[in-house]
Amino acid sequence: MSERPKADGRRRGRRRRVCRFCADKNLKIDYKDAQGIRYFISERGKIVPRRISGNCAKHQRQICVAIKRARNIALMPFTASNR
Amino acid sequence: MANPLPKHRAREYETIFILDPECPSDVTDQIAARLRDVIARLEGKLLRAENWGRRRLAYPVRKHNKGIYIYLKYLGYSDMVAELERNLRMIERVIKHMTVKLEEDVNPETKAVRDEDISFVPQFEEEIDEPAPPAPVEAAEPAESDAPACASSGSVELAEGEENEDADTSDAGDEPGSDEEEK
Repeated sequence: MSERPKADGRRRGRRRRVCRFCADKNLKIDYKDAQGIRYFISERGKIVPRRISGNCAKHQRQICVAIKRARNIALMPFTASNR
Repeated sequence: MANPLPKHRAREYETIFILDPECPSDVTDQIAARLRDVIARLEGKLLRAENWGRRRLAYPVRKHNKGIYIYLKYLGYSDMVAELERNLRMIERVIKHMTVKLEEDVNPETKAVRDEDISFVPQFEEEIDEPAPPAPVEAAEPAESDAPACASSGSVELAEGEENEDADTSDAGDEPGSDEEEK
């Protein structure tokens, strides 16, 4: 949970606000592409919230479905692996 | 459009199933043949088949840590998925399967099948571990936007404050990426 360093005020305010998938229409959200959506899960395997990932609502929903599908077919962990 | 006959209105599905890692390739071929039969019998159309090879599973499935992933994309009617999944459940080598509906109301004529798209030969042989994650897009993005900021503010002192801020955001952006690499 030490993912966020102690916020020094400024950092908190200036986060990337443009959704990555809105910015680049060519980026596809595909549950089969585990590498591509790996970015949106934490080390523990949790889905990264929108306020951190910067996604817009639409794409966060799609990411969310993709992660859940990938979990279902063992491409992605439900929880932190005991590695 | 004008003629919504049910036979013109197939659905497009994709199914991924995982075979147990010790499954020999001739058994894989048998299973592939069987599933092709099922699809053909129900007047479906196999659009794509891929063998992703032996991959590490994200969590153990039936005590297996690895599995052979097979991917199918096909057109079918309403009875297709039930029948295909019934078959998958009967094959003991299949340790897990999942079907996703990709598209509703497809006209089968519009979907061309290319023979080279259908192969059950492993494409990525023996992936022991997951391949090293490619540099996250995130890491590259702020760096690019950072560079011009640095260049322009180098001469003007007033812009320095802004430059720092930019550096901060790029730091913050980098962290999640580096966290993942540590894992």
